[in-house]
Amino acid sequence: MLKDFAIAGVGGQGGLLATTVLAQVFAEAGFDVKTSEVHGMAQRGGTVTSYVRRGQKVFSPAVPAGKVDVIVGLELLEAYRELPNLKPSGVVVSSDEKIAPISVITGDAEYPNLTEESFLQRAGEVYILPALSMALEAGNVRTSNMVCLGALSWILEIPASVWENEISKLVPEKTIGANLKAFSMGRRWMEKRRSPNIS
Amino acid sequence: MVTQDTFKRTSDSNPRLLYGNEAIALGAYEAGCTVAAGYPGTPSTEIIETMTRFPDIHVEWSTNEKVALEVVIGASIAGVRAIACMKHVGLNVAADPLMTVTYMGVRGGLVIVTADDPGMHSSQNEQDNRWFGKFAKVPILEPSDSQEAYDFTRVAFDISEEFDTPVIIRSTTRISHARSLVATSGKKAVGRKPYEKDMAKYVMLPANARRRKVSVLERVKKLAEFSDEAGLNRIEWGDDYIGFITGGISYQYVKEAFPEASVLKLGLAYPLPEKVIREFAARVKCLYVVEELDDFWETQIRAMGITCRGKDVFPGAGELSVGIVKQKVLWSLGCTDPGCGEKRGDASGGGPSNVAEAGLLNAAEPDLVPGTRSLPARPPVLCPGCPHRAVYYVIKKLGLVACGDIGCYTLGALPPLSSLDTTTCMGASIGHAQGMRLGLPADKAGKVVAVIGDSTFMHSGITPLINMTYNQVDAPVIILDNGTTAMTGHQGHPASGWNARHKESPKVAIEEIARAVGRRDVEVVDAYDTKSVERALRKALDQPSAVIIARAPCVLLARKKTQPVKFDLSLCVECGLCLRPGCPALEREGRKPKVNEILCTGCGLCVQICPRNALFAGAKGECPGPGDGVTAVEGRREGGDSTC
Repeated sequence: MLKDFAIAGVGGQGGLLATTVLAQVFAEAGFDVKTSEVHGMAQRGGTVTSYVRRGQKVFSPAVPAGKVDVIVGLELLEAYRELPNLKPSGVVVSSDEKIAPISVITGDAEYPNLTEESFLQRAGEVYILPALSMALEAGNVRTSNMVCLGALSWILEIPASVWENEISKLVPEKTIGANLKAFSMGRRWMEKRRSPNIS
Repeated sequence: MVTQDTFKRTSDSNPRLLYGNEAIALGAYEAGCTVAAGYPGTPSTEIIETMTRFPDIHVEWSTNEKVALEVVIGASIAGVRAIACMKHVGLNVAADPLMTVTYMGVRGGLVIVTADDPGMHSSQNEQDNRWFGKFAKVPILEPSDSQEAYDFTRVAFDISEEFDTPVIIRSTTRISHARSLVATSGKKAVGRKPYEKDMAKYVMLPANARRRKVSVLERVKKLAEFSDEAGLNRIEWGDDYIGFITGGISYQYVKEAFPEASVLKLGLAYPLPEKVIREFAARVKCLYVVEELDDFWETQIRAMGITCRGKDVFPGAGELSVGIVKQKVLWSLGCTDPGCGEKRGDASGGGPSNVAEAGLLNAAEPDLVPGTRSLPARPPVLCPGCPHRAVYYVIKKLGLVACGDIGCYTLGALPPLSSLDTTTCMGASIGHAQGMRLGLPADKAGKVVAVIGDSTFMHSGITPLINMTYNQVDAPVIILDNGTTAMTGHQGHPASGWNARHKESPKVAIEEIARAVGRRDVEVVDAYDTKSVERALRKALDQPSAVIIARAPCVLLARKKTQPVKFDLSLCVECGLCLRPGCPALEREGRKPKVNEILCTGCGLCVQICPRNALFAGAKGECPGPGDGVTAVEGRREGGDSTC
């Protein structure tokens, strides 16, 4: 069973909402659940990585280094930065969105060239999806987090309806439609690429 | 009477997934707490925010933590249960009332929450506030997850009333901002205790305080006995080769790293249960004290004459983790430290082979992925469209020595703005500026300014401003007024015009305060208008008794957003000036800028900076701005209708 998840992104991308949805889905499915997050200064456009763990009994809210089963990336560089924490042969599901850190904007560093092969140095499976353009198609640019969750949902055993129910409870009422559409687009994207529920 | 039964739940409900902070708030409310006060600070903020969900109690953002605790002490003396919530450094501000309320004791239960930040995710230091318990002779409860955060907060009020003492709940980032399942037990009916005037107890004249000090010492003794008996501390017997004394989040790390080991879990972090500790230490071969930050327990356990391993093994800086606990313990078992061998009772035995036999050795540390250590870092930054950016741009341009303060605007210290010279604690900017004026040679001293946010100014910026007037050492003070306590997630403050429940409240006028305390030149400027900011700052350098209020609402709260800035490639001369303020919405494409239309708020800072008008307000696509910023600024204000 896939138990330990990292959600990696940039402050403001909706990583904490994605964390909440994932954790509530697991709680709803009857697991012991813990999440670990960092708020405050770290959220101001900086790296934001949160963790969700499930199981019979969970102790540490943060996943020990090298034990993450799945990295959900909302931004490509941040997904890659989390890679050392992935279990060898773990799964990466990441948006292809690239947000330049300040050092790249000021020309002091270069945004690395990241491909599936870069991730396969450690990961067993890599899925990089155009989450941002799918979010735009879903009608709300801020729903790329739900696109990524949709893709993730396909490889977990919990029925889509549980996810959709939690998403509907957690997002602003006006955006439920766009969020659910984004979720199902992500799920369909993954459906075409991978067999289901082999967690 | 607080007993083991206190922890048996009276009713079961569906467990809910709660943050530690939410659990503390719910625990306080259900324990009958009716007054809650605090000042926002990561990782404590959500406790007060959660309390605002309960309509039948008083909840407030106080001006600062000292005021919050004083309000709460007043409520307790009056006979109701009350809670004060703050981050670790907030308790420094509230230390003054803390050190005396411990003499006074309570009437209604009084609980103080300190949320510490090991690892300094969002803080200027990582002080270990357990010392405050020993320092003030006040019991400390330390939860290990959200369930305990809920349970301990409930029981804290009972302990407070039973032992006539304030009680500290000590959380950390990984408790406050972690979520786990919580079963609740329903709201308790707690009445108001009748008020009686009691000067001997609540008026701390020296004669009264001397008597109270004696009762404080007696109270600590009783609490130590209680610590031995209460269900707050528990032994989980396992393999007797290694025993861990631990608590808080470290307990979770220990349980995951060494599931077979024996553990003494301390829920009452002070005073320590000496009998229980002795019993535990006597039965395990190798004793480890695992605690984040300081050797708070270790030094007290060693003082009992018990040999143990602690900070000789585990780091005293930053957070612990499952990996660190496992690695350090295994390393130490392999080492030949005489103390450790003595404890094993066998100089040649023990060590890693025994550990492996005990089933404790498990998994190697992962190899790092090549290159991931040298990736471009992504530190936090001022948001795209942040009104502080233009002010820092001018500060840098004028080469000022800027004493900074605590808030989002501390990020002005980071490259490429790099505009701050100091940051210490809440309100320190103004006193520091005064001191630097005194200490620097004349040519440099004339360039010193203080930079402070609106909420921080209310919190502790007013007294140093009075000090400047009184002692006639002036430095210009720039108040970055974005109308909210932004960094912690947009809380109200006395100058914001709304309160903790987001209801309208009387708005304290910052400019009137500045004038009232004797500042002669008080000017309000549009924070986005670089020309006005620069003019006001140049003037202030000649008239250092000036206060400049750079005002514009936090961009995350601004109701109207304008169109993204447009860029005309043909006009760009690749001078790079527009990239200097480090706006995340202006990316670099070769040597030219590229507007990230999703991030750009159209604030117009880059428009004002561009000498060739290659960047212009995007409201009316074809219409280039005049390059002085007026268009862009007005365009922002009027929802996109630029006036060219």
